[in-house]
Parts: sequence; C-alpha cells; structure tokens
Amino acid sequence: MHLNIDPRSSTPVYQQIVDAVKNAVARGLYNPGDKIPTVREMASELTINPNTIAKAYQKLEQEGVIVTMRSRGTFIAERKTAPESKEVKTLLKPSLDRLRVEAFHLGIEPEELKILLLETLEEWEKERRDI
Amino acid sequence: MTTPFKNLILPVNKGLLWKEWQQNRMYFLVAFLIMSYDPLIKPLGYGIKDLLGAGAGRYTVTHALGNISGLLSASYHNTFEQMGMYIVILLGVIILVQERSGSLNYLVGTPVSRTEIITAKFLTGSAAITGIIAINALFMIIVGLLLPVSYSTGLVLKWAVLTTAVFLALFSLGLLVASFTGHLLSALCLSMLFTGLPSMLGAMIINYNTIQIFNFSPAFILKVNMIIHYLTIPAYISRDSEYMQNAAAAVKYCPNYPLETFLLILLMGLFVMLAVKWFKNNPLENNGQMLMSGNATHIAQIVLATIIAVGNASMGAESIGGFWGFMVITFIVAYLVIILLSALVYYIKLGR
Amino acid sequence: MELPAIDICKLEKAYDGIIAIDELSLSIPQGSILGLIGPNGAGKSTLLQTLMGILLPDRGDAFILGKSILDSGPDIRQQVGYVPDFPIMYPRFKVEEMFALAQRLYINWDENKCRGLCNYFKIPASKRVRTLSRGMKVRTALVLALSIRPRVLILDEPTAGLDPVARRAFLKAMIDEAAEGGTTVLYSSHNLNDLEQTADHIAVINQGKLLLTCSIDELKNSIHKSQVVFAADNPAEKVINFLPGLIEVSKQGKIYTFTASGDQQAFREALADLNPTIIEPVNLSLEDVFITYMKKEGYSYDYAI
Repeated sequence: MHLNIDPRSSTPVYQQIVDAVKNAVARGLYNPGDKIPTVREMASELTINPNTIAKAYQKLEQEGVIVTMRSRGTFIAERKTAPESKEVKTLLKPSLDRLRVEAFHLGIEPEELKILLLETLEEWEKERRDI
Repeated sequence: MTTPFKNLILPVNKGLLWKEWQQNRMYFLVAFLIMSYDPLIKPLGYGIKDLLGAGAGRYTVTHALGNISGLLSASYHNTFEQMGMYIVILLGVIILVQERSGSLNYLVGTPVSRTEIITAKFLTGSAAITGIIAINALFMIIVGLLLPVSYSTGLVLKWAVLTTAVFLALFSLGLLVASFTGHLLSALCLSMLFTGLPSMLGAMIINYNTIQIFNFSPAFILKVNMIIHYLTIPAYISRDSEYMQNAAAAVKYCPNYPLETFLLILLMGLFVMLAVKWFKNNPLENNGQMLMSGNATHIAQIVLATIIAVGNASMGAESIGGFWGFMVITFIVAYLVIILLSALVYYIKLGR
Repeated sequence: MELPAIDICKLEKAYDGIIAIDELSLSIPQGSILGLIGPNGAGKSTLLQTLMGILLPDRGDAFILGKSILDSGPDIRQQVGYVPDFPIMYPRFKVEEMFALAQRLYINWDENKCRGLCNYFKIPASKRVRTLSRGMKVRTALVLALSIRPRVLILDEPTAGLDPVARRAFLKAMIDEAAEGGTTVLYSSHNLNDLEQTADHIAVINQGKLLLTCSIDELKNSIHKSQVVFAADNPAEKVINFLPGLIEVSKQGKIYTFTASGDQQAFREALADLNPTIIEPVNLSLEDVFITYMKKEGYSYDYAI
C-alpha cells in the first residue's frame, strides 16, 4: 500500500494517513474485505514511527473504515449504510462550506460548480469500473 | 556472564578473559620469545644442532646450559631477567594503555564494570607471565634430568617462584601507573622511575655523604643501603638468588627468601588494588588523563631527565662544583635525547 | 502509570570548567521514540554517554527501566544498546570477533538476528574494524546494539555522514526494532527530516539545559506562520509588536510574514482588527519550527555582508 505522506506538512502525519486510506477506499483502490498491512509493516515501509501508524489505525477503526480481527489481521470494513440525512448534513456541511468559499474566491459561479461536481463524480465512477 | 565469585575480592568475567587473550596473545608470544631466548631457545637450538650432528662451533650445548646456571645465580647477562624486567613492565602498561585509543569507550558501555575490566587484564597478564616462567622452569628441570648440570631441581623451583613474584609485582606496577596516566610514554617513564627511584635516591644520599654535604654514621649508611635494596624490586632477584645459592655468603641484608616472596606478592596485591581504585574513578573525558593541567608527556620527560641527571651526578661527582656541573650537563643531554625519542615514537605512531 | 524507560533526575556534569549538563530532568515513556536536538556542543553526546556509564555524573541520577545508573552496577546495560557518534570498537579485531565478544558479554545475544542484520546491512564479517569506513562502522555498531535484543536503544547522531541509501536502511531497521519489540529509542540528530518521520517526541537541549520536551505534533502546533497583506494602510510598527505571541515579522513589498507562538485563533482575531485582505497560513516543517524556536532562545546566525 503506497501512501503519499509529507512529514513536513502542517497536517499531523497520522491524520494524513487516515485521509489517505479513506481516499484510497473511496476511490475503489481497496474494497471491503481486503487485507491491509500491519502497523509494523506499514511503519517499516514508510519509515514512520509505529506509534503514529497505530494512532492512525485507531482513528480509522473508530470511524469504521477498517476493522481488526485478532490473529487474522486488519481489513477494510464493510461500507457503512447511509446515516440519517440530518446527520449527513452536519457531518458534511463544513467540507461543503469550504468548497463554496474556495469556489467563490476562484470566481466560479454556482452553476459552474454544480457541473464541475457532477464531472468529478463521473470520473470517480469511471475509475472504479476500470479497476 | 559475571561469575558470582562472591568470596573473591576481585570479580571475574569469562568473556573479558577471552577478549584479553585475543587482544594480547601476540604480545605474550613476543615476550615469551625474547625472554626465553637465553634459557630455553638457545639451549634447545644447540641441542637439536648437536643431535643432527651439525657439530660444535663456537657455541655448544654446554655453553648454552651455562646460561641457565647463570640465570639461576642471578647474573644479569641473560635475556630473561635483563629484558624480562622491562618487558613485564611494558606488558602491564600496554595491556591497559592500548584501550585508551577508543576501545575503552565501547567496553565501558557494555554490561561489565570497570573493576571487571582491569581485573581481567591483571589475571590474563599474570597468567601469561607465570606461564612463561613455568615453561622455562619446566625446560630447565627436564634438561636437568637428562644431562649433567650444575643446578638442582629445587633451585629451579625456588627461582621460578621468586621470579614470578618479582615479575608480577613489576607487571602490576605497570598496570597501576597506566591506570592513572593513560599515556604510553608517561606510563613507561613513571614505571621506570618507580623501579629505579629508590636506588637513585640512595645513591644520592650516599654520595652527598661522601662529598661531605651530609655527615651520617656508617651504621646509618648501611641502613640506607639495606632500605634501597628492599625498595628496589628487581634487586630481589639478584639478592635472593645469591642467598639461594649460598646462604652464608649473602647474609649481609638479612634476607628471608620465603618471607620476601610473600611480601612481593602482597606488594603486587597492593598495586592491583590501587590500580582498580584509580581506574574505577578515572574520568574518561580527555582520554582519562589524570594530569589534566598540563601535558602528561611533558611532565614525564622533565622528571625523567631530572632523575637521570641526579643519578648520574650522584654517582660520578666528587665535589660540589663537580656535582652541579654533572647535573646540568647530564640534564641537558638526557632531556634532548628524551625529546628526540618521544618525537620518533610520535612519528612512528602517526605513520600507522 | 507504567515505569518510564528512561528517567533523568536533575543530572549535572561539568568538565574542563564548562557545564555540560545543567540540572537536566527528562522522562521518556516506554515504547516511544524520542529525538534529542540541539546545537553542536549543547551537551547531547555528554548526556548520552553519561546515561551509558561512560561518563560519571557529578550530581543527580538517572533511571533506566527503574534501575539507577549509579547504584545498579553494570547489569542494567544488558538491556541497553548503544551506538556512539564515532564508533571505534576494537580496531584490530575482525567484525566477527566483535560479535563473538558481544555474545560472551550479553545474556540475550541473538546470533540469528545478528546474521540477518549483517546481511541486510552488507557488513563484511571477516574484515578488521579499522579498515571499515565510518558509515560501515556505524552500521556494525548498530548490528551489535540490536542483536542483544535491547529494550532501550540509545543512538548518538547515527545517520550523520551516511549516504541516503544507508540512512534509509538504518532508519528502517530502527523503526522495525521499535515496532516489533516495543523498544524505546532515544536518539540525537541534526537531521530533523528523519526526526519528523520517525520520532513521536522531541527534547530540545541548549548549553546543557533542557529547553522543552513535547510531542512533534504539539511542537508544530505551537508555532505558526502566516503571510498577510493589509488593505491600503499598513499598520504601525507599534501595533504589530503587540500581536499575541509574535516572534518574528518580516516584510517584502506588500507581504508581511508573521511567525508567532501560542494560540493561532487568538492571533487571527487580533490580526483581524488590523484589516488584512489576505491571510495565508504557511506550512512549517520541524526544521523551520526548530530554527525559529532557537532564535527565540538567542541562538541564530544572522547573515549580513
């Protein structure tokens, strides 16, 4: 599993790992049931502090992205069923707000933004199908 | 892997003993070869020559055997005692000083105590020296059983014990001095100093007396002589050997062979205890040099030159003027020679 | 709470008239990897050597896995592996003889691990130590330290002078040891990039004193940098100097660069009062943070011709 980690970024390394794994799963590079490297293997491959990896794995497990089965290893978890729509709004709103502000400053009109969003989603689906 | 010899005063570590042997076996071999040249290698060589019928030349087996007798009667003209004394001190110094070039830093970081480190050195060196003497003694005894010789087995054994005592005392002296100077040249100079100092001081006193600076009674002078002889470790060999050969003749200084051997062993023990104590507390900053204010080498050079000057002047001068003249000239010459030798050693070391 | 792996209590050490360690106290929890950083001559090597018993402290004490380095005798070093900055070992010995010696001195010597590591680091077992390059000696010393199955690993500038390939191999081996055995690692380094990746805590030392110790994330959060452009009037210098936690400000054209410590939010709020048009946060690497921090402490090189 190759993750792009930049130790020099202001984002904590463990957060970068969490984000990278979530990204990979969302893009279909990893499917539920796939085995992922152990903390030790990951630490060795990335040459990153094992405690940091452990922290990332902990968070991923908390968020239900991965699941550890004792003496069998760590695997990608089954995809969650969509939560209540009210919950979704609260969880996703900050990211959406950021997106809107960014687009505003780039001079993108709301209509253009909608089209861009749809195009991006289509690209992702295409990637998933091709894998 | 520390053997819990709780009853023993000094702790023993088998791993360290192995290391000391690995590190120093070449030195021990060279020491053996040099020391055994007269009493063992030469006679052996000529014996083989004789057996092969290569005939007698200028040197014969008998001639070589004479060396052994000479050895036992404390003549200094043999490699064993003449060179052996200095070799043994050198061994004591080298076995410790060689660690100062950095390996000591490794050793101290391992699970061994400093006491164990120096104990291992002492034990390995002592075993080697005792072994060298034992091999030679064994050879002498065997020869004595096969050929007509002028010494008895008992004499060889007495000689072996005495020589072991003297050499071990000198070895531990070298170890002791190295434990607080940490520098090869200063350790050697100081060791020679301690070995020769009593006789130099004594010669000085006697000479001052002769040229009337002091005015001591003959009885006092006799006492001084006696004390000098007791303090000069190497003299034990010559004096006690005389006694062993002919008790009546060597009665001047009331020697008591078994007692003195025992005392020498005690002296060795004292040196070792002090060495352990110094070594334990020796800081390893600056490579462990105790004489941190000032250059140990430099001090040693000056001290050595002074002693040589004093000794020479004491022995040769017949008047005050002559004494000081001798002193100054000898000091200058000795100092220059010492500086030159030190520079030579330094450059040889650089070249390595 | 679990016993700390290393607990240093008010350690003091002076020699040659200089105070090398100045009443230093530091506690390192088990299983962590702590990077020791500081300028040259700050006392890092002295501290590590004192922990190993190579140097004897003047006052104070330190405890490794609960045992005092002053009272417990040499056996505590059975669990501690050490790699000095310039390993000398026994120059005349062959590498395999060094291993043979270590095998006799350490109870937990693992011959298989030693052979494995030798292959990994490509160490020529039959060469004499004095013929090895410095990088090779460092790797040999590391093999020696790891093959004893240590619970604590102390390294003094281990990657200095290693080529990038060797450096990566070294760090992997170190990480592996920490991950597999839960070994606590204490290492001093000037290479903050390595530390950023491999360490979870750091301790900053200067002139024998511990300046600060915290996790790397905390340190990065403690100092922040932003580039700011103001609307028409630039604020007066007096006003700028009152921004909370300000360490440094520089100006190039219309762009101000502010480096400040403390709460980023409070800083933003204070800044908002001054009517900025653009505020952009700048990514700070550990190296940037360290240099800024040392500047605050009065250690910096000011380049001026």
